[in-house]
Amino acid sequence: MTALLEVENLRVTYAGAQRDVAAVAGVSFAVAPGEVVALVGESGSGKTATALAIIGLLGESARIEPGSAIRFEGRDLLRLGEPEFRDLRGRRIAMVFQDAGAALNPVMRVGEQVAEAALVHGERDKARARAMAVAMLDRVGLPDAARQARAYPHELSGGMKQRVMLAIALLLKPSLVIADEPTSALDVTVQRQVLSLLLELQRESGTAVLMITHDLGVVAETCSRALVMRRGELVESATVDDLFHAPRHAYTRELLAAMPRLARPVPPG
Amino acid sequence: MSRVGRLLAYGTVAAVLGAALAAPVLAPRDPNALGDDPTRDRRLAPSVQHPLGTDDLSRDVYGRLIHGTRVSVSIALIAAALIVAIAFAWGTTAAFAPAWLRGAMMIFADVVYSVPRLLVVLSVLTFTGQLAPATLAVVLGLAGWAPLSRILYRAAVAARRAPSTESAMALGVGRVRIAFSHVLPALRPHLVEGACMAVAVVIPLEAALTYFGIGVPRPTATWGRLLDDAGADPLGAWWLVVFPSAVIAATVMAMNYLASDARAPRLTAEAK
Ligand SMILES: Nc1ncnc2c1ncn2[C@@H]1O[C@H](COP(=O)(O)OP(=O)(O)OP(=O)(O)O)[C@@H](O)[C@H]1O
Ligand SMILES: [Mg+2]
Repeated sequence: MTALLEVENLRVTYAGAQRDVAAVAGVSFAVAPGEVVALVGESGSGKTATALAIIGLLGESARIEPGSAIRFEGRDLLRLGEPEFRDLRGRRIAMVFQDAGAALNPVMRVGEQVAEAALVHGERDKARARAMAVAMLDRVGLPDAARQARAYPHELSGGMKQRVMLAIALLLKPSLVIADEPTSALDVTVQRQVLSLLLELQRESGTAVLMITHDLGVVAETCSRALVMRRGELVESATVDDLFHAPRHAYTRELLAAMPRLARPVPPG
Repeated sequence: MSRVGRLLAYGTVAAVLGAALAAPVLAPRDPNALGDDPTRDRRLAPSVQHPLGTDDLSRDVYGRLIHGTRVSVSIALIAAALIVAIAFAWGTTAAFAPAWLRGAMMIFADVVYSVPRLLVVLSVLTFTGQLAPATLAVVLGLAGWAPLSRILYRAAVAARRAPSTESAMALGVGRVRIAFSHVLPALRPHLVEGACMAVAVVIPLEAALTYFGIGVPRPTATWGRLLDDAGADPLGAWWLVVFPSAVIAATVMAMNYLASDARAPRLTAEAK
């Protein structure tokens, strides 16, 4: 199986006020097409920095060190010009952010924001983009989508906003979605609904998901494989079964020990 | 802001703008014309014929106030438009510029800001002498854009880095579209507030400069000129001081109200 995404020896450094911070310190992994991979690790371990490096949105205070490589669909993303990269974003690689309330544009109707994904990627016909948006909003479970498409973000609940984010991210059926803690801002019951929706959409369109999370319960429920990061390094890369039943790294065992019992998967057999 | 306060503020602004626009209709006589008998008609108290009285030279204060409004408001609007335009161009250019240029542009703005506005205007006027109203407006505008440019710069940088901008960029939205659909809406309240504040600052500045004889030359009526015309002994003729002062104070207060009103809806939206 050829990989959809290959990250090789990725090193990301933030230029700090006093000294530089190595946010990502030599990380290598691959994601296959259609695969759901978890990226877990404590706060500050470099998960978001890895995600932003992949989608090419690290701020100007960060730099990717030479020797790093990110290949996606056979292209070297680190050598891609900004126009070509922009063409990939939203069409082939999409991102779902943690806080949909902050990630949606407060002064734009949600339908327009979904339609924008189509409009920036070559759809000329505004009416058709709008129809696509309404259909997608309906698909993600926005009740009365045609009407709600005209709502502004602040008129929707947190769960609905995150559904809108999913609609935006998956509208053009990208081959990779990076979800950076997509449910941690939501209530527990809503979290489950949004997660299962993400998985449904992912299966429908054959999209691979890189799921960044603190929550090993989420990992157990949704992912087939997990990458564990600590202080910028990848300390474990295992199938979810192995991760829960035969963790190799002490840090992974600590993470597991910190997890509430109920959320753990039942041992097989 | 209370409803009454808002009503008063908008009412005042509407009245002042109305007077400025309709001055030739509201006061058809030449505002510099002397009374029929200049000696007899000096310093007349308000009456039916002269609702706001007459001044030392027997001119009708009502007519001069109306025409003065036209000049003072024009100066304030031109200066405010310049301030907003320059501050907007400077601040947003810096916000989108590479790091080194951005720093240099903001340092320049700080230098301009650190020289007191009055000092700039006074030094220019020392060179040029008294200026026609439009030229004075340009000088006031050129001297006053720096603080607003910093505010707009900050807001534009914040909007560029906002999560909603980042998510739009993750969607492949280009720079131009980001500027118009994310950065510009975030600047709008600051632009409105900045414009109101600019008017509120320029009006007393023009009045003071003209009052001290270095602003708009005689005999052109402006709000500052009317105060000057009250002469050395205004106590015997209260109407020469009270009416122009009241108009200046009411206008400045109303503009400050509008400025805080521009900020207010944003605060409530953020509180949600
Ligand atoms: N803009 C920045 N400037 C400087 N340092 C940064 C910046 N963003 C992140 N860092 C640093 O890089 C490291 C990795 O941060 P990152 O955001 O990737 O962590 P994370 O694993 O996503 O954490 P969390 O789970 O809290 O989201 C941290 O040490 C952080 O302090
Ligand atoms: Mg993070």
